[in-house]
Amino acid sequence: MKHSISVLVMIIIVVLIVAAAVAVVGFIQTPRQARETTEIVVELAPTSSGESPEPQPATEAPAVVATEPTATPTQEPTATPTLEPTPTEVAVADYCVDCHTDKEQLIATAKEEKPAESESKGVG
Amino acid sequence: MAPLEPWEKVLVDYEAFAETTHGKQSCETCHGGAQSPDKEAAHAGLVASPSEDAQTYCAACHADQVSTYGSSLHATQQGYWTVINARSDPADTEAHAALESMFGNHCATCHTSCGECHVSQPDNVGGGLFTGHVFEKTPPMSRSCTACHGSRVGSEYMGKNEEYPGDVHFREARMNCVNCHAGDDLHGSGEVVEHRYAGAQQPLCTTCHTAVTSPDTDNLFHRQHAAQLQCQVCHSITYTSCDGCHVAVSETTGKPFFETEATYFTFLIGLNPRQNEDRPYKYALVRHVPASPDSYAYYGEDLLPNFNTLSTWVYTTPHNIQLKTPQTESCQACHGNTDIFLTADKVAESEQEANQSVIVPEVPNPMP
Repeated sequence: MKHSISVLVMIIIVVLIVAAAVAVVGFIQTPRQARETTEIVVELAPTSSGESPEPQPATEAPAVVATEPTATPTQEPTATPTLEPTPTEVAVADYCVDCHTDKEQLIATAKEEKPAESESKGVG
Repeated sequence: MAPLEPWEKVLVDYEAFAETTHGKQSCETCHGGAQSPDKEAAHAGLVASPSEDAQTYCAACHADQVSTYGSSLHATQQGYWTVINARSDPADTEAHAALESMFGNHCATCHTSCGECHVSQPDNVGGGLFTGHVFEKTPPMSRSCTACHGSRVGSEYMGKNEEYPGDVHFREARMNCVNCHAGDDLHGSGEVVEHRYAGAQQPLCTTCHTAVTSPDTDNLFHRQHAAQLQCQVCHSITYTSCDGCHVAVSETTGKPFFETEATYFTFLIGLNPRQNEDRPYKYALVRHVPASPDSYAYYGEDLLPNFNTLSTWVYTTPHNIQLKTPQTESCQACHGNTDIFLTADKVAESEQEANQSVIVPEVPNPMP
């Protein structure tokens, strides 16, 4: 009797272990499957917008499209503040320097100076 | 000096300018204005010549120069006023108001700011940046110094008077103006100077030519004449003189103008009109200045009632020095040679009274 109880306990333990293992394996596979789905969506998304208006990929597509742009702004703000001091300094002189280093622009915008004929005569 | 095109006057060499200390400032720090792609908006409130207000824009870094510059002749032009005051009647306020008006129209244009020597050509000759806005510690001689001091000093120094060679310091030593006229002299001492020949001689020939001007020099001529003759008497050559300058304002353009009656070559030794301990010589070269009693007649009648107080043949220092000149050829070149002395017969009748102090009554006797 005692022995049969032990055997039953062992069986229960084994069953639980197997169940737990199955659960763990299932858990691990889920994200993998998700990634596979995402990859498919990524592939499908352009197709859906171009050729066949399939509702299912269309619903998932925004999620992917939304994911991609988020990456861009996250990088941009980091880069902008680092560069700010230099462009700001340059920007202060920009319009003055831009114009006053551009011969053609200066010629185009120069006020015409009428050569005033001096009425002076002799050595000054 | 050919005038610059309008665009040329304001073209900035930013690559070079940005490397300089002044280039570390933003444009607006000195020039005001505003950041705008539109020219009119950008130039609103523009300060074209910041150094006209040197105290505000230059003194923070150039305190020594700015503190004295206001008293310098380049800033005050006091030399003109010394002469005008001497020849006019100081008590006649109406006449002086007219003279001030004349001065503002004709003489004040020669006033010079820091920037007009160190970054651009003087306004008086049309202005314009000379090195793409890079500031020059030593002003470029022909675009700065002789741009104003050109008709007499510049022509003599660089040999532009036909048939007469330029100054040996320029021809052979390639010296420019500031090699003799140091910045401290040009920036003033802090004391108001009455005239460019007031006070000690500066520069002095003896500063460099020490051996031949020492009392025990081997040079017989120097030993004999050093105390009697200004150096230029023996070492200058022919220079220009002018007659009868008259000023007025054009009825058609409204712009001031002048007219000089004559310009001619002279070389004349007169009695030293500025004989003092700084210039003890008995003889000095004299040049005729274009002043006449009615020079300012446009502005009023008889504005120079004391015209004869000063001579019209004045102490001069021609900038055409040579080692060998006609005067150094022999003793007889000067002794007994009436041609090179300002004798009474060479002075206009109307100017005899004014020039009594410089007319040589008797030419030195010929050497035996």
